[in-house]
Amino acid sequence: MIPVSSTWRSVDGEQWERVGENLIPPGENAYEDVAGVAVLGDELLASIGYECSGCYDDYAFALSKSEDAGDSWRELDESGLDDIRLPNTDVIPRVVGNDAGFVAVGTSEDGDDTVATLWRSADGETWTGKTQLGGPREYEYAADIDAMAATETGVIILELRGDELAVWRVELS
Amino acid sequence: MQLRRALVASGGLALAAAPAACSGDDGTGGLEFSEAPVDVGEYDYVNGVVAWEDGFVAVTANGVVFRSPDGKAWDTLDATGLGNDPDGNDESAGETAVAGLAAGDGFLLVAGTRGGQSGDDKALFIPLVWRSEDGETWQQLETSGLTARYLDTIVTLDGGFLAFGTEDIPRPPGLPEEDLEDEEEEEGTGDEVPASPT
Repeated sequence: MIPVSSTWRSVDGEQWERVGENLIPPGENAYEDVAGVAVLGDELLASIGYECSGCYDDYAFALSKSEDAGDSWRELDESGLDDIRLPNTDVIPRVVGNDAGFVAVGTSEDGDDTVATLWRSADGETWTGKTQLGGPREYEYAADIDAMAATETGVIILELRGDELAVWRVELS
Repeated sequence: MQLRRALVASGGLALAAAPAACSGDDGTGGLEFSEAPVDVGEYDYVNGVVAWEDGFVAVTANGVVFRSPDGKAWDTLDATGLGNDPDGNDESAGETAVAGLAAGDGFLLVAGTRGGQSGDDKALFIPLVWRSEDGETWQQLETSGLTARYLDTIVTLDGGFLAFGTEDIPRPPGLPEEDLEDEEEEEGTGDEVPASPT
């Protein structure tokens, strides 16, 4: 048996059915974890942490997109997110969709530190508008940003740091 | 996720002064950062946040629920029925990881996984879904059709829900056997729920 990332659909939370293709073709990875899924109409964009088959301690991320509400998936050859691939760490972006398109949040370098950073995309594949968000800084090592949700006018981003909840509210036009 | 936990444990986080509201480039119209104290245990992290009923609700991996009317001030709810062994008296129930949160029409759904061991000491994972109408009182649903080994996240789509997770399928014909080494090592432990960062 091999592990694959899959989708289940429900209207009430109780009765579920397995739907669609695997988010990434079977056999590519020894481990996968769907870190977040952005919804933009019938378009779904999944951010997936993975360790490739035959690899060891080499965690990375992939973006996979569906344009038919999860029936079929295509792994994207994304561009513009290179700054999230930091040395010494594995940052898996969180993604959401809103009226302005897709939004990704992770961390990027700022001098010797890393800081929360946001990117935007119309199609989930080409990312632009890198914006460092300020707030807590980490020396050298970075971590994932915990979670993000769309609001009426932008996004809200959360990161739990001990017993403090760091919150960014970003207005997007 | 292990890296993040190690950083927290070692005190390796350096906090800078919070910036005031500012603007960014390329259509980022305004930015506001704030920090709010919350009542949460060590080594926890937020695994889902949604806009819901004129405010926001968030849930952590350990099943702690936060609620905010404006995104700035956050209350830690006295949530019951969510996360690890809600009754607190079943040691065989295993460890539960909350993986995601979705907003329905007047209710919330949380997806997660409970890990444990079967009678023959093999890893046993049970995908779970909880429902709440107020964010405080949660009911674990009797689900059917969830064939996932564990769940990673959940979203709302067209008035329904999509859950994402991992399932085990037969090895497709022609796929090399050598790639299974890491996976089989992971399956053998059986004593922890995958540390999903979702």
